[in-house]
Amino acid sequence: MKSSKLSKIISVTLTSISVLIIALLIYITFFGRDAENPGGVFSYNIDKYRKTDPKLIKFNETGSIDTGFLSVSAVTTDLKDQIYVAGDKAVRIFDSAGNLLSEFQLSDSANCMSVSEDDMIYLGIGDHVEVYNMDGKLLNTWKTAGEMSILTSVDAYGDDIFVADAGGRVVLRYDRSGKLIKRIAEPDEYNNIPGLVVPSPHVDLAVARDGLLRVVNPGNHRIEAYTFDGYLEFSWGEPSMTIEGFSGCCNPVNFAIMPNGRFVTCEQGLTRVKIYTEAGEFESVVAGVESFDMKEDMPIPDGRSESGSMVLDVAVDSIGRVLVLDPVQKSVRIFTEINTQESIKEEEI
Amino acid sequence: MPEKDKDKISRRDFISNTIRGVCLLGLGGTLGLVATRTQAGDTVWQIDPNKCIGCGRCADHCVLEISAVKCVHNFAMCGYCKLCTGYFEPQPNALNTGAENQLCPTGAIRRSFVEHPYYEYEIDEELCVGCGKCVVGCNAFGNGSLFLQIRHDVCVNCNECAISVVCPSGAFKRVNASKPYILKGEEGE
Ligand code: SF4
Ligand code: SF4
Ligand code: SF4
Repeated sequence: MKSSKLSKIISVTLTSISVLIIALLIYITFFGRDAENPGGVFSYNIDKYRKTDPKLIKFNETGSIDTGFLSVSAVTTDLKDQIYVAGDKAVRIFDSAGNLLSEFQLSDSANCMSVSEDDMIYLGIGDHVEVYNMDGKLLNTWKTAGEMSILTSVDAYGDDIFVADAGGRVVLRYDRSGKLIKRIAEPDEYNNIPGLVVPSPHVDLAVARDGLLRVVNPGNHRIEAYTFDGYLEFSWGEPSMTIEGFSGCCNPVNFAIMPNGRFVTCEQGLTRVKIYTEAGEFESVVAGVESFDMKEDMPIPDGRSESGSMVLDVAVDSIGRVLVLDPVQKSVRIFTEINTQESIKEEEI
Repeated sequence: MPEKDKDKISRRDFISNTIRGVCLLGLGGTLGLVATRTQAGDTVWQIDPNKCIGCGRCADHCVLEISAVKCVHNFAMCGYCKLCTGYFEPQPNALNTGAENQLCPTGAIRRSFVEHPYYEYEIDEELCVGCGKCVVGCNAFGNGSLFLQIRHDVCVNCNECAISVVCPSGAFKRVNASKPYILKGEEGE
């Protein structure tokens, strides 16, 4: 008796679910589609976030450097405004006008790169750091202790080498010889440190003008400021598809710091490059989604992420030009702030 | 895998090492069903997740009233994100399970807390109509752990799959019935 009642309830429930789904399908088939949204409620539509308000774009694209690589992974600059690009299994060095100066080979492809004040090139390759001089001679190498290490950012600052290990969810502070000095950004309840949330392997870092280390906590959509001893001072950033925030599940993927202290951020998913003030307030757009090949018809799984085609890297030079490494065009795209362009023109007059 | 690449950790290996999951696609039980329905050497239809662009047609072009195509989740690839772009509307009011925040039109994705700050997402196949909306959201921003597969406990294996005719990306292909699923994250490895 009981079991027949139960089976009746189950069958009524299943029938109701089926009726609801069929009703939804009928609705979609006959009413749910329109020209703008052909998939109706079945389509994932973020078109409105792909359009950038032209008033917010304060930069012009003023040039580009063809790297000549088949795939590119990192860009950085030095004090002389030379531009370093890592791609394939090599590093190419260009002058600020984009002329190729030199090139050297690596043992493998590098994820990240930084040039010290004394012209040493630090590269994060898989789970280890390699150090080269300007002639491309390998001077030193060291491996992180973590089993799951994936080095995604390096910054040579004075006597310190900061390395982001996205796999280990930690920032490692080394001295110039590769001796580990401090582990930073690991969860620490006592010191109010939430720990890095890293859904995909992108954690960027750099030391800012105020002498604090900035680290992206991508799953929290925030940029965190740490002392070199690992104390979290403050953080900023909000998750949002709107232009003010960081979109998706994990952003920003990369950032750079302008000579005047402002931040340039790159996002994946909604591929866009934006400027934030030193305090972390959204200011303007360098390049919106429209500036990049979205390749919407790419096969879903790997069209974007696996090929890395939409993960931009960014660097800046001493006059505030924003150098965006475009992995689809395999070029460094140069963006100049409109105010700067005007002041250069005035000087010429 | 070449010897020199053995130590390298690929993007696909990049998963939460605190809550490392196993591939819990729940497809194991249906392998037996396929085996009883087919002869050795038979083929069945399947979607190549590398080609699917999540156009939505799988939901309403199957000959069955409710599509045999379902979303499956490879937990081993998932970031267990708090803000899952396969679960939440693009701009949710809040990161909770409120219906207005959910992307899935049939409420087929269950979100459950694992440990701070990780959440698990499971597909209720009874409710899933295979529209692929979550798949696009997951792939646009996340690790792409959600993808579509024809479930062979439901599919009647038409001579010419009605969806394959309208699929804009040529994602449908015949595969051997002894290996009826194309699991994302495993192919090519
Ligand atoms: S019809 Fe093809 S592209 Fe569209 S959702 Fe189905 S498999 Fe993917
Ligand atoms: S969004 Fe579509 S494919 Fe994803 S679980 Fe819901 S019904 Fe299934
Ligand atoms: S073969 Fe037939 S039942 Fe199976 S998915 Fe295609 S149309 Fe649906």
